[in-house]
Amino acid sequence: MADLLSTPRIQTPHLDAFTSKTVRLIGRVTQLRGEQATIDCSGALTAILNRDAHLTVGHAVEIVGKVNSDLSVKVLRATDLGREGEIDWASIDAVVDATHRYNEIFYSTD
Amino acid sequence: MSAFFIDITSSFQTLKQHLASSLPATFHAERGLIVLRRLAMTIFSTRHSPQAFAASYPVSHLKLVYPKLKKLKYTIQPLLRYFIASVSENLDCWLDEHEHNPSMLHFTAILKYEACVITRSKNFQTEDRRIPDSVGTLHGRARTRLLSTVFSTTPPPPSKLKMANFGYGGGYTTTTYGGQNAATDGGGFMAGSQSGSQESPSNSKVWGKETLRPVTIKQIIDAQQAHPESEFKIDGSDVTQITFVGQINSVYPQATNITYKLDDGTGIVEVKLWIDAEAAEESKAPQSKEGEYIRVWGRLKAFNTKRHVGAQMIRPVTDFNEVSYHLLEATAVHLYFTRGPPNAEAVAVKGEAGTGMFVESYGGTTSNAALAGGKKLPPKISSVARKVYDHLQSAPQNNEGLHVHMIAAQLNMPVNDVFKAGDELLAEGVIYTTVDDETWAVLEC
Repeated sequence: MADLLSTPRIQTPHLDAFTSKTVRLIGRVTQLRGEQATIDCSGALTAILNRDAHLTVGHAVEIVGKVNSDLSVKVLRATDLGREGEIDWASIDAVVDATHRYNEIFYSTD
Repeated sequence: MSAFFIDITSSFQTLKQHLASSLPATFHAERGLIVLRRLAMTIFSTRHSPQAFAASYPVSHLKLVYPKLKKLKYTIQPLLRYFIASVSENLDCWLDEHEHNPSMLHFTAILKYEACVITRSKNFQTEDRRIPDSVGTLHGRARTRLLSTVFSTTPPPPSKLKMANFGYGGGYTTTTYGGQNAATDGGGFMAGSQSGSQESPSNSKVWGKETLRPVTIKQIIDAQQAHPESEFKIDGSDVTQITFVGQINSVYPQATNITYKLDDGTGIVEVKLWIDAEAAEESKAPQSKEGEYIRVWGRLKAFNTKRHVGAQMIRPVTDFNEVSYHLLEATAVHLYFTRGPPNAEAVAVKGEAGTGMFVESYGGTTSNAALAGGKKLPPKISSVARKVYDHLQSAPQNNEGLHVHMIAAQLNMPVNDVFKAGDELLAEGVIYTTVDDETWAVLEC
């Protein structure tokens, strides 16, 4: 049951390992194009926005979303985290690293 | 010291006036005062002579007092808080002195707990502004102490080294006090007052072993319980209090509590924050809304097969970096329990190997030490103890083993550290005492 509920923290390079799964991504908003946004998350990715998502270019954002087969991410929930300068990106990377290195406390693999 | 007494004595004189003016009409001021005075006498007599106190006012007597306190929960809590407030400047010194006295363990724990509650409680109002500040420092220190119980390798402050045998600060060894008091005394004041609900006394059975552990929600979901009612275990260690962060999925305000569904990316768990009936109206409404991150301190509870966290306190996360910090802290603690404390060599290797390599080197060093020992030591054994164990195995000796002072001299280590290491190893049953308590040999099997 837990694996259905967990949303592993990943970055762009991990996308193809998590297709059709729900994941959590933290990145910088680099471009907004109507329904789509480009997020820099250790590599650019395309996010398909929903109506509730209010992204701002230059801000950090946390996205919970589903990875499509073309490696774009369908946004289920987007949380604005403020200006990108206020986020310690090294620790964000460290968390993603720890998530997959010690996945026993972060998500179940099946 | 005398100033301390005058402080308390005068506070008793002002206490009744304070009670009359500030507490509810239903408050049994006279009765509460009697109990508080008795508690104060308990403290005073300890200050005068701990030995005399232990003889004439034994732990069993305190046990009679505390159930009464529990009954008087709502009556005594404001009194206790007032008491803390009136001695707040002395409280830290007082706790330092008495924390390691087994017969005072209950009372210091209650005082500490109440002091924490004061600093956290928004509805504790007082004209005297210095009180929350000075107790606030205690809150931080109390947390440090809790953490040092988790990280038992953290050295105690130097003053404690002198006070206790072989450098054991009483508060840091969790087994002795737990055995003395916790098992026999069920009438804990703390358990009842935590969430403001009436709980069974059995909740306080791990009194002396209170820890505060950062966890992920998946760890909460995966926590093991040997049998219903028993303590939860994470990574094989008992968990009492836990702290974690999570994003609010939903909020259900209810009559007696606010139920939050929290998601931290590793799982989803329900958190119940009980509403203080005496609290002001505005604090009853949820402070946080969906989508926000909050930090929770609380206790893991099981009701039938469903788990939830009984929160003592919740606050919004204002700096998102706290989320990263928490997840990394939880990982560090998880690794501490599963792989043992990081030792000096591991750190050195980590420094050389650079990024991405540290896991291998970390695991590698631990297993090297275990290999050199010929037998796998449990991960919680400290690096000092490992060193002593390796030495006991490799050093030339007769069948009587080695004396503590000999080990200390050969390893060039302080005798205190060797005693500590020996205690750890003896507790694990990997070494045994031979001709006397201070001569050890490796238990071959």
